[in-house]
Amino acid sequence: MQLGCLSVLDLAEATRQSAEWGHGLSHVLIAGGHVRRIQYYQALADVSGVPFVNLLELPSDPSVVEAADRFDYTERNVTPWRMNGGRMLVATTSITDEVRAWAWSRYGDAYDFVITSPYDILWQTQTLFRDHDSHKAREGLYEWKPQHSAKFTVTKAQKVTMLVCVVGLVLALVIAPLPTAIALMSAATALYTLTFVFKFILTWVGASRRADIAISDEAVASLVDRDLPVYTVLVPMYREARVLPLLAQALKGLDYPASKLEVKLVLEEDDDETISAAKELDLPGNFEIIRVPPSQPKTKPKACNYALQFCRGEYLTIYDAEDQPEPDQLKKAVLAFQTAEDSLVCVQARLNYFNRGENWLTKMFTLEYSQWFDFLLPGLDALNVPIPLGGTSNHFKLAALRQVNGWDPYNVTEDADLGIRLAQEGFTVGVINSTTYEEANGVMSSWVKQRSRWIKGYMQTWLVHMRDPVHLYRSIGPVGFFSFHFFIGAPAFTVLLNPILWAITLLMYGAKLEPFGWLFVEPFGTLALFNLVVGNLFLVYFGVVAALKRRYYDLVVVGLTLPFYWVLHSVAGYKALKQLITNPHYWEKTEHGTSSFTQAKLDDAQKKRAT
Amino acid sequence: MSAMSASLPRIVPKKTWVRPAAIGLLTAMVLLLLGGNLAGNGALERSVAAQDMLLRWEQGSLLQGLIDWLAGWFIGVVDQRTALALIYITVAAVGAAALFRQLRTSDWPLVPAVLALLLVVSHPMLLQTVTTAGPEFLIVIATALLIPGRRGLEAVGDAQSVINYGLILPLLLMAGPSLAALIPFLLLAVPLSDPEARRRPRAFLAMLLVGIVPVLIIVLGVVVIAARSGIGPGALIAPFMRAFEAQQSSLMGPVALMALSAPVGFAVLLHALIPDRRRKVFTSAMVAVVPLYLAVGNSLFAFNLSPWLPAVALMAAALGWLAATRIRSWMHWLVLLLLLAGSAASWWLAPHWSQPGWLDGLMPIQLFGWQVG
Repeated sequence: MQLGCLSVLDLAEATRQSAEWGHGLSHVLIAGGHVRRIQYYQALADVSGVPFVNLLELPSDPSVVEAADRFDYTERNVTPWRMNGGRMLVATTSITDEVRAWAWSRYGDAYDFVITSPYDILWQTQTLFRDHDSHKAREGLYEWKPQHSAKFTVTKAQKVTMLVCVVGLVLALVIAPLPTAIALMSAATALYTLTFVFKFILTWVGASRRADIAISDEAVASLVDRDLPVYTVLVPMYREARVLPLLAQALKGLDYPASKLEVKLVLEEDDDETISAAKELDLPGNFEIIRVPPSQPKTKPKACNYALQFCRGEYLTIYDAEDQPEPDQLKKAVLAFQTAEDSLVCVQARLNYFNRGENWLTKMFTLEYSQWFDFLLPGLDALNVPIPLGGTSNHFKLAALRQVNGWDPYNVTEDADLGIRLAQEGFTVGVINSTTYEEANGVMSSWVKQRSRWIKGYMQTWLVHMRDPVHLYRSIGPVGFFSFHFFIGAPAFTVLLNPILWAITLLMYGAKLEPFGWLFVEPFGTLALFNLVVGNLFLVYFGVVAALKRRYYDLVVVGLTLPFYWVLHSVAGYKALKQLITNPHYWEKTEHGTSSFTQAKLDDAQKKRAT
Repeated sequence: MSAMSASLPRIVPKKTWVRPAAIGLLTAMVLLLLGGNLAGNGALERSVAAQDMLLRWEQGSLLQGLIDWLAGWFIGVVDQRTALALIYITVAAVGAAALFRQLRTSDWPLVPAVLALLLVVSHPMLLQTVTTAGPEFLIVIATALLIPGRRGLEAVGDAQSVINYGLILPLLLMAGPSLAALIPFLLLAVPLSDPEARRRPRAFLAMLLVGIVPVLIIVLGVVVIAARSGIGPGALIAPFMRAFEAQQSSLMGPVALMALSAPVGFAVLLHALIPDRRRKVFTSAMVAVVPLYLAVGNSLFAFNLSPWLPAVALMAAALGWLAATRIRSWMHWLVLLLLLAGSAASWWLAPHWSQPGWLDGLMPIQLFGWQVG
């Protein structure tokens, strides 16, 4: 106040919030934007009677930094700075007993403090441990459990198995072509029937109101801000400067004490445009930018793994840049974690779209997401089987996430893979009744790119976890094992198989050619016909019914055109297969901000900022 | 343990299937003994010739054809008649187990629930329906399922109840033309049970579409499979045309039999009259309306249903209602009393309504005459 940085009113407001939120005044002042970080820490240094150092201008002496202490530096906001007259100068953001004990354990009595800001320590740690952190982000999982990493798509044993299968198949086709073809067709028919039955069960179970047992508004209201833990929000972005204002607006709208919200914008070091835009936005003090050093693979999970090393929250979530989470989402996640068994380490919020009415593609996408998040995932949850996580809005216990070495940077659906890995480590995943609204991809080419990445990722995930099917079976049980195959493996396979079967069907019925009738021996002939007519139409029906929970009545009629959407899946499926072979780790970037809805929101946000 | 249930008091999961399974097994054993005895006494002469299941359509029930087709798969292990009986007995046993479980879920104490099951299993009309493996059983099953489906729509109204109801409607179609004719009216329940659909025409049409799609799928499936067997649309529509040709018969007899053999229907009406938050008037009305429709329809058109079918349909509808409705404890005893009265009256009147030979076939005990394999 003496320096003129803070008004009495702001101080009073921050003091009240500090008491209410049970969080230090410094955090409240900075997160609330009442003072700038550097101003606060300079003032703190004055009050404490110790010097303030700007680590950007006067960085630490690398020779005094210990790699073994790297996580302490982030956790405790402390770092050794320089030696001065035989005494270590320790830079910290607050001289507490805990920090004193830490310094004493390292340097005995021979230390003094200097004050710096958390931003300086973050910068310092990023600079000093750049290579170490980057390596850990890339190779952490592989070095811990190579069998769970998609660094190599297939193992030697898998290659040999595939080769034996292909050779066996070719031989069978040469020696006994007709029986082999009949056997293949029968297997495909059985696969489709089982897929249909599985989807039917999941949809039916997930459709129940009981599957929607919700964390009530009353329960959320009963939470006391003082008891809430620090929550980290990771927002990985790449060349998405445009939508940054929307993100800032959405995160400010979260019903969570600002000082306990640690927002980390995870940006690629070479993405100058987004970094500049983030700086220009004048974001509140609880926002930090993590710059990810360039390295291959250039994927979102690698960026998140890198940022994971700088997180301090008890819980962590991920949002995409254009996400609009419901305000109570973090509190619902906290409630879920606090009341469930300890094994629950992740909860998935539901995803849906804010621009469903934009065009046919966004309508189909919305129906698909509604079915996925409102029916299928709750169905899996009710059956107590592994849940493949969605791309964003998954909330973790940070310690557990670190325990499993974060995401697989080589898997392009790292979220789905993580759900399976968590289950294999004995953890559970749940679903909460809170929705994050995203932007549906309404541009065909962009949609195919995004979908091909998803299908490729599912193929990777299936191949990775089938390296040791016995272990997988033992760790997730028979129902989990079955659902893994029919939720992760079969969809990726059937999108490839579909065009072949469509062609046969067209030749048989459309062109009135019946040279393939011998392929269908009974009861597979009847079963195939059942799949073709009843099974497929019921899959359309499930898609249509998906509109009911959210009362998207406008999507019911258009839902009948779902089969055309399936054709697009197959196009994306073949692109995915090609990439799986030629470029498995390539990340097909989803273009955000293309919707007119997003544009309108951006204009709105700009107007608000201007006023 | 899911996060969704995380905020609720933890409930220790019980093995809720053990007792219902035991009830189901006991029911199956009773029915097997009875069926075996009837067969031993030569009372079950109905034999189903192996034929394309779609030809059954011409006799009025695709579901019957489906079951015959299913029974055909067991030929070689047992004869077709035994296979059919086993399928019907299995379905009935599963139904008994489900009813018992639902009664217990609806707060019926153990003893009254067991007594209710005993009275249901001792009802001669139900016994005849199962052991004669006739098409009546399928109408009974469809009616029994329709009521909980309708109640789910009225009381719960979630997506699952819409799906359930939507899937029951094709069952009516498959049970035969008499019930299939009700589908257009029953469909209206889907949009009418949704508050938004009652207000907005667009939502009304959407809900109507959601309700009708399963029926259309089954119709399309039947048409395609029929076409594969060389059966054209004309043959598929023929049973409907025949069923609704005028044909006069007595109405009073079947209605009186309903009142005497299934007085438990009165408990449903009584429940509908007493104000209660669990009272669902439309569902209760349906319990009476569907069997009455069958009785009236049979008296005016060529449904060719057995005269006792409306009575057993009312019994099934009432049981379906009991399975889905939580009633007051004094009504448990009233229901038991009415079940007892219905069963006693039915046995007393059995010479007038039972199929030729069925009643005589119950005695003497001649189990060894039943041939298996």
